[in-house]
Amino acid sequence: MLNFIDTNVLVGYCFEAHNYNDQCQILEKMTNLWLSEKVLIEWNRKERIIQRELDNKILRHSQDIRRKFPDMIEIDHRERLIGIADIKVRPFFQRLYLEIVIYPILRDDLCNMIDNISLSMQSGKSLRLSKLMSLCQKHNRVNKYPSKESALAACVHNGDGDRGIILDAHDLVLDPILNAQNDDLQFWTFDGGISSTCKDKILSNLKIKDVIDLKHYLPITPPSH
Amino acid sequence: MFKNLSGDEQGSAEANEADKYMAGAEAAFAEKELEGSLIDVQEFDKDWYDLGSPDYHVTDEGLAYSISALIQAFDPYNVGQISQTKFYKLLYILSANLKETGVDIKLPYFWYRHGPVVPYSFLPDGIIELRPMNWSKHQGKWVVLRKRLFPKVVAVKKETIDDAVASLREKYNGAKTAKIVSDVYVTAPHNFQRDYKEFIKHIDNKIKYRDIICSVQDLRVREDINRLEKAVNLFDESQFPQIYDDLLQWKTIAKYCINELATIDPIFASRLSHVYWDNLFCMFLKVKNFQNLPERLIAKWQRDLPTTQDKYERHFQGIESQFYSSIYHPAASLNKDICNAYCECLRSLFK
Repeated sequence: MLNFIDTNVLVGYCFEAHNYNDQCQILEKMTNLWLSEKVLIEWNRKERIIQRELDNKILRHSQDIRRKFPDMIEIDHRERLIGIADIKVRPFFQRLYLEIVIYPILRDDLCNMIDNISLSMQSGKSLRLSKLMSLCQKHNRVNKYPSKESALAACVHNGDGDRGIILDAHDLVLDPILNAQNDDLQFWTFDGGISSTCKDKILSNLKIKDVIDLKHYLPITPPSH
Repeated sequence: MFKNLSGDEQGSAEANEADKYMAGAEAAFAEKELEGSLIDVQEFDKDWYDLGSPDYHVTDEGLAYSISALIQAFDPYNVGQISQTKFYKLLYILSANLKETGVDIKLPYFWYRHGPVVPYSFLPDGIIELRPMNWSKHQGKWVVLRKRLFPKVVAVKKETIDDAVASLREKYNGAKTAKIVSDVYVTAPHNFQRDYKEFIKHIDNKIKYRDIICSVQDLRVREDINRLEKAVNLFDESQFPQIYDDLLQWKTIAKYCINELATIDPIFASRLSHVYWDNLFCMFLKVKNFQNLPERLIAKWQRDLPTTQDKYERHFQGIESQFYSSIYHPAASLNKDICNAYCECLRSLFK
């Protein structure tokens, strides 16, 4: 059986904070695991959003402290520190400044602490991505399927993303070299639209055996990284 | 290494070794900058060739006269004593000095990886020619005058240029090109440039001579981290808003690796320490700090920026991946609450 994963599954696996990260551990037990170039493009787009909205804001905050605060950070600085944090990362810094940091603390030590938290969080994601990539094979589709695409268009709306990714999976099944054994393919996703609303349309039009919503799988506790 | 020496003697011997190392480091860095200066020119030549090398010359009479006066001063017999790199760096210093006296000779130039670059093909037509140089691979060609006649220029300007050339000759006659290359850098338009160069000079040499340095003293990585932090603190986000976040990401990983400098793979360390400067910052720098260049060239460089940024991101992702898989050691004591707080912020982005 070929197992093809959607971008949201890749995201779910790589980010420990994802609600269905535990369910994604099943990927490590799968064989014949596939994704496509389009999946990776979508992943990069998502990862950039997370980088911009979260990690960059954390690093900017650390840099702001280096520029704007004295060498020694006292307890009196707490409110100001929280105040200069971007609203999107403020809950994180509130927890840090109110519950974890012991005052007084050297400015450099505080900034290093923040930088190290950021590295640590990135590290988990990066290691999980590397691990998954070592388990996955990548398919690059060259064939176009205009009639199949128009059959799906009314249901699977995002042409460059979702629709293209499903067609990548369809193309993989038909590939005489990559699928020399003529195996069936399961498409794994967290997208309810694809796994329920559009499922019949996908199965009747494409050479995909099943579309499975990984949300409905029992969680597996991941090994600690 | 310092067997049979008393404590004081050993300390003094170590200090001498360290001094020798620093002198060697300065020389090696200057040589590398010199080599890089020529590569900067070659890269420009390729860009201009890609645009079809259209005819473009600055026609300022003050510039034409300055070029002649400069070559006459440093190579009175016009036999080929000024290398390409020496010529354009001196011309840049001359132009900057003249500007301070209110004379603008309209020098075409842009700032790049190893300082200002003056494209020869944009200089006034018919004044200079380049002659092959066999003995130095880092200095390109000799620059000589086509005719030993001075172009006409108004008397007041002539006097100012002559004075500026004379003081330049007094300072740099007999000076090595590497010194001139390094002196030009003092005039870099952004503080970050100067401090990054200071940082990279030490890092490059520590990577190269790591084993020797470790045998006589410790690597003193705290100094390198301070240099890095100082450079990043001086970075002016308002001038380069598109690449500030990239700088902070790069710095966070670079800082961690400096702490591991004694054991880190030297090839990786070198790639990491240059990647932001070479592949991103200087691409934005050249479209920000230039004068008297053709619009189509600047338009091309600006058009290339999104691709440059994408390429950099892919390149950096590769470096990050190597960093996390083989260099970074996760902190065992990271507080669970803080991890949860981070995850809560992250979860809001999945919605």
